[in-house]
Amino acid sequence: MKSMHKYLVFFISIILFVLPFTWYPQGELDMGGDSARLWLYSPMEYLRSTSLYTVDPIGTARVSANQYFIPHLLFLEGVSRIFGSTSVLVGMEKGLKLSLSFLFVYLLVRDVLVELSKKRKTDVAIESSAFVSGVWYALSGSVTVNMPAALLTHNQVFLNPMMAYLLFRFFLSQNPIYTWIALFVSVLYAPNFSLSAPPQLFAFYPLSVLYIIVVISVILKRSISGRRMIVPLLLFVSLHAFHLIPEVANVTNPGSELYGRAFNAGSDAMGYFNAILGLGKVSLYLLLPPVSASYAWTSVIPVFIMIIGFITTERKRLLQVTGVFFLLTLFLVSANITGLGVAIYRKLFLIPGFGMFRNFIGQWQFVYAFFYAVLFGFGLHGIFGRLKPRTTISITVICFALIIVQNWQFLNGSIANIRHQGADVRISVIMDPQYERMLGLIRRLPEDGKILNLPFTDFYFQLLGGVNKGAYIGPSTIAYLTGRNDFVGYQNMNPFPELFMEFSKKKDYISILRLLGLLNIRYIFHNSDPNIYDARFSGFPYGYMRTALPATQTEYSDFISALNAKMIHEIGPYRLYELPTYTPLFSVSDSIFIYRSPKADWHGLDSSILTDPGRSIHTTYLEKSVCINAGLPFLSCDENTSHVVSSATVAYTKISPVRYRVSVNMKDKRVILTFANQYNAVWELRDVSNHTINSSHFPVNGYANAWAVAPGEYEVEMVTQRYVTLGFWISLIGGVGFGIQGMYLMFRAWYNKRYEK
Amino acid sequence: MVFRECILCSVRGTINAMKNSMVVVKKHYQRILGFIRSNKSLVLGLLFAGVLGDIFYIPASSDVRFFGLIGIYALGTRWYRLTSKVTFIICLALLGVMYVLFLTTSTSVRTERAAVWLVLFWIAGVIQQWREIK
Repeated sequence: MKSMHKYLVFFISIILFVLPFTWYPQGELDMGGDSARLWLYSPMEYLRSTSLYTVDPIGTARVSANQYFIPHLLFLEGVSRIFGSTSVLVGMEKGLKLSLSFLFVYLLVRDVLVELSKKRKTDVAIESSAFVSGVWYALSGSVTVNMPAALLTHNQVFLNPMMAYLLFRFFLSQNPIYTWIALFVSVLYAPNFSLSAPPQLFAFYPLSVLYIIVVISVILKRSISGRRMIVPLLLFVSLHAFHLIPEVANVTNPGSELYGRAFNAGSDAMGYFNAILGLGKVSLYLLLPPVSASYAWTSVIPVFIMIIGFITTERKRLLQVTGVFFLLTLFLVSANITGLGVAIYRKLFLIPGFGMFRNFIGQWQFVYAFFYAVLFGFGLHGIFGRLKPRTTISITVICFALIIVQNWQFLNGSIANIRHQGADVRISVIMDPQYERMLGLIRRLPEDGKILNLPFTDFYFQLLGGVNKGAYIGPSTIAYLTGRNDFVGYQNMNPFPELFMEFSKKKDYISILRLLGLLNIRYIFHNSDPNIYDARFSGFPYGYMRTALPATQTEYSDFISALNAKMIHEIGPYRLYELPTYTPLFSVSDSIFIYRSPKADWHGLDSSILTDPGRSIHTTYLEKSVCINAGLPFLSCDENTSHVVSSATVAYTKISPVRYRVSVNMKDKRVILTFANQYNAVWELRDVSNHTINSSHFPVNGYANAWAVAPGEYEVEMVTQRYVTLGFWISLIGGVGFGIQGMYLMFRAWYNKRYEK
Repeated sequence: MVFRECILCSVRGTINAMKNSMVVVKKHYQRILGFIRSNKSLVLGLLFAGVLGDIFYIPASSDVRFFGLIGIYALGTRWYRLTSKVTFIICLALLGVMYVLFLTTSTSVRTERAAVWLVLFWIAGVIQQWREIK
């Protein structure tokens, strides 16, 4: 009987892993969504554009530390090379989630119950309850509903139970093999252990580790050695140093993307919480009804079993402890449990950092599903423990059949037929070979100049048709697959999107050119495929942009013609244009205009600032208070004044996206050198001749970096990149130690086995 | 002298009257307590009716009702020596109510109210069970 259970678990794990491979036709990729899942298309291109340097490949190139991608993308690249296709990654991504989430919930429930049993042996009741809870978890909404267009952190659905199980085994046995495996997996899935996704990290691990400690020390009455945790913790920090060190450096940098995410810069956490509070439905989370409405009646069964379990179980302490964690996470995921509960929840936002849980439903649902499954398993065991084995098996079969039937559509591959919001177009695509050729051409473009990607969208999404009539909607494929910064939507063009819309509405093409010049835009990419704009996508994701920008693809072509852009490449519907004039990445403008803004940036400024026909297209715009604070003696900081600068030439060499060699030649003693990447204090300009750092670093043009410089040779470098190097070396040393530990553990296991024989 | 006697008499009278009334109140209290203790089903029935009334007939949510009724129930569990089993049976009844409301009205105000009651009784049950096996 025992071995039959093992075979069954193995069989189900394999089935769950293999199933997603049958959902998509060969070559089809589900790679859209909020997060750029373009790593499924080309892990190495994605790695090159995002993870090697602490700078974003999109828009104005924000400072961003994405090194956590490196081991995961290398792992995906390795898999895709072994199988000779990247489409295998789509099946593997989903298959691992289903299979491992089932397996580790099963193992956790089983092992806890085995440890509590008198004989310390498994039996039908234990195996059956663990099996049902595992299947329930693997096919629960937290795994299945979030699967299409999933964020990378969605891997937490299997990582959570896996880590909980490995920690449980380690605490019990003190065998370092468990922490070794946990560390190895944590490096492969480093995005789930990075500070860039703190909610999922801080939602699960504190609660689950506490739960495991309570289960072991209070219920199993075993001691936990804290000293044994020191080596794994040190190894964790050193192995993850390659992304943790740059992240820590960036989390303290107010201009970085990570700072904004961690401290909610520009957003009111409490306000957001209040706005979505009404969505927290206690009944919905208690019942967790299946997606298929016709099986909503089955949703009562798990809760019913849990409550019955409290009455019938012989392991009351286990159910109580699990129940406490279950009810706590129910409170956290639903928020609406009495007025007092809501008031307490609001007070939690006073804790620094708790603001990351403002989207409480999204952040706590995975932890809740985990405790739900575990409590369901223990509740079932409370019932099964009082039944005859034959009855237990019959109920297990019924439960299994019910879970399968209510998720039949999902298991049958309905996920591959999901349509885009408001359009009858599938989300999975087969990449157009013509577009792939265009990407190749874009990669070979001269280094300087960013790209405007049209049709322009409301968010930061690009829309791209596939040869299977599906469409990709997600972050820019040009940015993430070629490493060329492009502007694809409203959110990329900060702080100018409203001006761009206004000028477009007024057909003021000179001002548009001036605006594009400020952003270092040299090329326009136009996807003229009518299927991605005209009729099929009349609303999302273009709704707001259509109010000002061209309404059809034909009008977009006219719009580009009016900008006097010259077509340099055309492959099928994909056209690449070059603008008649642009401002290079490093420039010394021919005039400087002083303006005044209450926020010392571009927001809320009148559009007339760019429309003055008397002003040169290469003008640099400097805010009055910034001008005063920068201490520029060669400039008067009077409002609305223009300064004409004598001719100067700037030449630069790109050493890497975070390091440039710049040469400035001009007659004037000092001028303003503009660097058209997003302003951040971590960009440093150093005089090559005497290695002194230029301290007059200030923002211009509402977003860009600028320095007051004299003629000479300079090096511009992003200093946070040094932390990447430092972290890499620490991780390398940690990796060597980790490898040695792994070999020692293997040798010890081999030796013990031999000795026992 | 007579005046003083009169005052003393009236004070004594008041004290006696108060004593008598205290005795009466105590008797009433004991009688009420006795009544409550001897009518477990009625009291619990009323309490459960209060919960159902809150779910079905009172549109506005109130913490006073939530915590008042659950507080009375907590006292009831001591008076009547109710086990956690009873509390979990009440949970099952509330689950039934919530389930039917969910199937018929989705996540309506009533469904949510029933869900909150279920959670409160569940918490009460866990605490009660914890104390039982201490």
